[in-house]
Amino acid sequence: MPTLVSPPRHEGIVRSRTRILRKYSRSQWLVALLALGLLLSLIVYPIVQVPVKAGLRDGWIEPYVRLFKDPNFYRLWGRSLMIGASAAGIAVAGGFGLGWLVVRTNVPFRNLFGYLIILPYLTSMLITAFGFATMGSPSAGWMNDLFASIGLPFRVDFYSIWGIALVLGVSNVPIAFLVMRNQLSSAGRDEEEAAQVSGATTLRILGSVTIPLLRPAIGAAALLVFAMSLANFSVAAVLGSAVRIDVVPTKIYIAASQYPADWGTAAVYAMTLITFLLLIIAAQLIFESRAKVASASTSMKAPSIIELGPVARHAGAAALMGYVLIAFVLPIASVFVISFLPYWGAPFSELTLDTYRFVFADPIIRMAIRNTLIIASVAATIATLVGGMFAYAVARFSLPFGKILSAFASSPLGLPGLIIGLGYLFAYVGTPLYGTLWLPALALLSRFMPFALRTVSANLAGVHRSQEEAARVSGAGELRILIRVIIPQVWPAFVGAWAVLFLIFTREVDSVVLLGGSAHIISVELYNMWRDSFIAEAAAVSVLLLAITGLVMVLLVRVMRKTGGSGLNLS
Amino acid sequence: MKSFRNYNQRSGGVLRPALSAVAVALVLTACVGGGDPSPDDLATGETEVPPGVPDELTDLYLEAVAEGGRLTYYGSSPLFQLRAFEEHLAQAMPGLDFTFVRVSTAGGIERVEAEIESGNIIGDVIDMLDPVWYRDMHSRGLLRQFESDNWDEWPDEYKEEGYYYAGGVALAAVLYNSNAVPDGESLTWTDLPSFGNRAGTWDPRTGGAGVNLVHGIHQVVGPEWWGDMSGAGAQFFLGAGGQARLAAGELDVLAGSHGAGCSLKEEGQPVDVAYPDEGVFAGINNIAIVEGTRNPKGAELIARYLMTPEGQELRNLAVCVYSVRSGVAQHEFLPPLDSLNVLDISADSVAEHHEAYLAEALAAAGLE
Repeated sequence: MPTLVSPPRHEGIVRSRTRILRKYSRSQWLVALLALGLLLSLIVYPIVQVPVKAGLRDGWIEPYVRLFKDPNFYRLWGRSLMIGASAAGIAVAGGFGLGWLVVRTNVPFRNLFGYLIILPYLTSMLITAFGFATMGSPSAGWMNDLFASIGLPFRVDFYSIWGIALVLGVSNVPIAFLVMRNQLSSAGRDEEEAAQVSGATTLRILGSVTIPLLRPAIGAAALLVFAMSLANFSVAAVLGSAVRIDVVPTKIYIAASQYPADWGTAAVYAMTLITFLLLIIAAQLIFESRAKVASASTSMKAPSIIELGPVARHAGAAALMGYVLIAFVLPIASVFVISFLPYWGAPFSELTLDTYRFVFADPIIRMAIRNTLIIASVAATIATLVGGMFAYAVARFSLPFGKILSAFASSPLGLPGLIIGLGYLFAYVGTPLYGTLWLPALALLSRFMPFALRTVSANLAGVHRSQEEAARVSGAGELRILIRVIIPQVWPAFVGAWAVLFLIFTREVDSVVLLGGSAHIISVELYNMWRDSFIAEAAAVSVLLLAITGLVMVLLVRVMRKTGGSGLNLS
Repeated sequence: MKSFRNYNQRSGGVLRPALSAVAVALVLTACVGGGDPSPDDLATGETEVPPGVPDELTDLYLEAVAEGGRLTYYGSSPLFQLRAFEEHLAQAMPGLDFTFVRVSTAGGIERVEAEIESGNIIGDVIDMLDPVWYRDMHSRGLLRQFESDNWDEWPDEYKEEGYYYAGGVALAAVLYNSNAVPDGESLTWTDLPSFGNRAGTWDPRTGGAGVNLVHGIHQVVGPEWWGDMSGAGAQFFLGAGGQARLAAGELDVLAGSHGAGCSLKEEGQPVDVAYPDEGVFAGINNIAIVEGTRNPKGAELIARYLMTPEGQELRNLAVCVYSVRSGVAQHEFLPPLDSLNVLDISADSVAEHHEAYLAEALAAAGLE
C-alpha cells in the first residue's frame, strides 16, 4: 500500500509559488507590476522622502525624542483631536438630520435641497473660511457690527477653537449627507414599516429603528469627517494662526515656512499624523463595509415618505434653507461684497471695481489662473484615464494581488494633502521638475486619483458581464468590446469623475501650498493674499474662482441627474 | 453627425456639455494667457531707449532688449508695494517685460536654493531682507558679479562690492489705525500690549524684518514683551499679514514695517506710523543677481539701474524706504533718519544671537 508522505516544506513553498505564478498570464503580471510601479512612484516614494530628507537635514532620532518629551506636542495634538471630533459631531448631526428630511419626509423642494446641500463641499474651503472670517472676526466681522447695531449683547468670534470646529463641521455636512442619503434610501424599510404598523410615532421610529440601523453608516461618516478635519490646513490657517491656535497641519506648515525651516519638527508631526489617519481610515472602511452589509440585507423597496404636518414641513424646509444660508450663501456673499471694496472694512460708499481691475491686470494672478486651468485640465484627464484604466484592469482581468493594489491605490485619500505636498517637495526639489507645472500636477494626481478609481469601479460594477460575453462570442476583440460596449456605458462616470477632479484641483490648497515656489497656482496665491492681508483682492480672486467652478458644476449637475448621483463617489 | 448624435445619446447626453466645458476652459486659458509680449515684439533692430534710462546704461538696455527683454524679480516687500515698484519701473523701461514675484524672505530663500539645486533658475534678481544669507550665497559662489560706477557710493557695511548692495533701509516700527488711535504718533513698544486683541505683531518665527524685530525688542524692551503681547491676546502674523487688518479696523496697532504703513497712508487708508523713542530697528534689503540667471543682461540692467540716483529714488518712493546712498530724495511721509533712534541690526549680530533670541521670544510668547 502506498504511503502518503508529505513533501518537504521547501518543496511545498516552491509548489505554492509556482501555482501563483501560473495562475496569472504574463500580461496580467506585466499590468500588475506596471500598476505597482506607478503607485510606488506616485505615492510611496514622495511620502518616504518626508522622514528621510528631514532625517538627513535635522537628524533621525533627535526631533522625535525632543517632541515626544515636549508637553506642547501633546497639547497641540489634543487640540487637533478635539477640533476634529467636534467637527465630526456637527457634520454627522447635520448630515443625518438633513438627509432624513430630504430622503424620508415630504418637505417642500427636497430634490432641489438635495443639490443645494452639496454646494459647500464643491466650494473651496479656503474661500469659505475667508467668508466666515469676515463674518465673525471679533473686531471687524459684520455679524458683530449687526448685533451691536440692533442692541444685542451677543458677539461671535470665529478666531477660536469652536470657530474652527464649527466651520469644518458645517463645511463637511455634505460628506455626511451623501453617506447618510445612500443609507437612508435603502436601509430599514421593513423594520420601519413594522414599527409604524405597531403604532410608533415618527420620532419613536427615528430614535428606535432608523438611527440604530444606521449606526455603521453614522460611524463611517463620523470617522471620515474626523479624518478630513484633522488633516485640514486651510480653515485653521485662516481662522487660527493669527491667534496662535495651531493644529497639526498648520504646525507642519509653520515648521516648513519659518526662518530657519525646522524640517525635523515638520517630519515628526507629519509621520504621527499619517499614522493616526491611516488607523482612522481603516476603522472607517470597516464601518463602511458593515453599512453596506446592513443596506444589502434589507428590502430594495423605494423609501417610504413620512408625511409631516404643515408646521413640521415648513420647519424642515427652514432648517434646510438655514443650512444652505449659513454654510454657503452668507460666507460667499460676504466675500462677494468685500471684493467690491478698496480694502476690508472700507465704507460701502467706496464701492469700486478697482480691485477687479487690479486682479485682471496683475500678471502673477493671470499666470496663476492660466496655470491652474492647465494643471486642473491635464491632471484631471490623466487621473481619470489612469484611474479608470486601473479600475477596469482590476475588475476585468483578475490581476495578481488585485485587492491589495486597489486598497493601495485608494490610500492617498487617507493622507493629508499637506504631507503629500511636503513629500513631493522633498522628492523633487533638486530635479528639473521643480519650477514646472508638473510638480503640483503630480501631487494633485497622486492625492485624488482614487476618486476616479472609485467612481469608475462603481459604474463598472453596473455593466453586466453578459454584454461583454455576448460581444466576445460574436467575435469582438477586447479593444472593440472596450470601445463599443464598456465605454459608452461608463462614459458618464468618466465625465463626472473628470468634472469633480477639475473642481477639486482648482480649489485644492493643502497639497500644493508648499509647492508654490514651483509654479504659480491660484489657490496658493489666494492663500498668500490672505496671509499678506490683501483681503479685498483675495475676495475678488475668490469670486473669479467661484465663477469658473460654477461652470463646471453645471456639467456635474447634469451628470448627476443622468447617473442619479450614485456614479459619483464624492467622499 | 449622426454617429455623434447616436454616441451622445448612448452615453447619456453628456458628451455635448462635456465638449462645451472643454471649449470654455480652452477659451478661458487663451484669454488669461494673452497679453504677454513675445520677444519678437520687444527686440527690434531700431529699439528706442526710453528717457528714463540713464546714459551709462543705454548700451546695456539695448543688450537686455535684444536678449529677450525678460526679467523675474523676487522681492520681499509687501505685494502692494511690489506692484507699485513694478509699475514705476515699467514706466521707466517700457521695453522690458518684468515679472515681479512677491516672496517672504524665508520662502524666497528656500525657493532660490531649490531653483539653484534643480538647475531651473527662475528668479534673476533677488531683493530680500536677510544679510546673513546673502553673505552665505556669496561665499558659495552663487551670486553673479556685475560692474557699476556706483559701488563707491555705498559704505562698506552695506555692500559686497561687485555682488550685492543694500537696496534700502526698512524700519520695524509701530503702525496704527489713525481713526482708532488719533494720537498714535507717540506710541511706544511697551504701549502695544495694552491694546489687547486689537494689537498685532510679526510672529517671531517670521524671517526678514521679523528677525530685526526679535533682535530689537530683545535689546530695548526685553523678550518679556512677547509674553505680554501673547498674554494680552494680540494677533501674531507669520509674514506680511496684519497691515490690511489694521486698515480694516480689526487691529488698532501693529508692530510692522514702516514702509508698509507709509504706502498704506499714501493710498488713503487710515494708517500711520509711530517711531518709538525706545528705538526702531533697521533692516537692509540686499539686491543681487543669481549666478546662472537666464537673463543676465536684463538682471544686470536692473541691478545697476537701482544703484543710480534715479533708480534709488524710484525704489524708495515706490516702497517707502530710506536710501543708503546719500543725496537721494526720500518719500515725503518719512521723517529724517537722523531724527530717529535707529538700532542697526548687523549681519554678525543676527548670525551670532538669532537662535537664542528666537528661543527666548518663543518661550515668552508660549508658542509651541
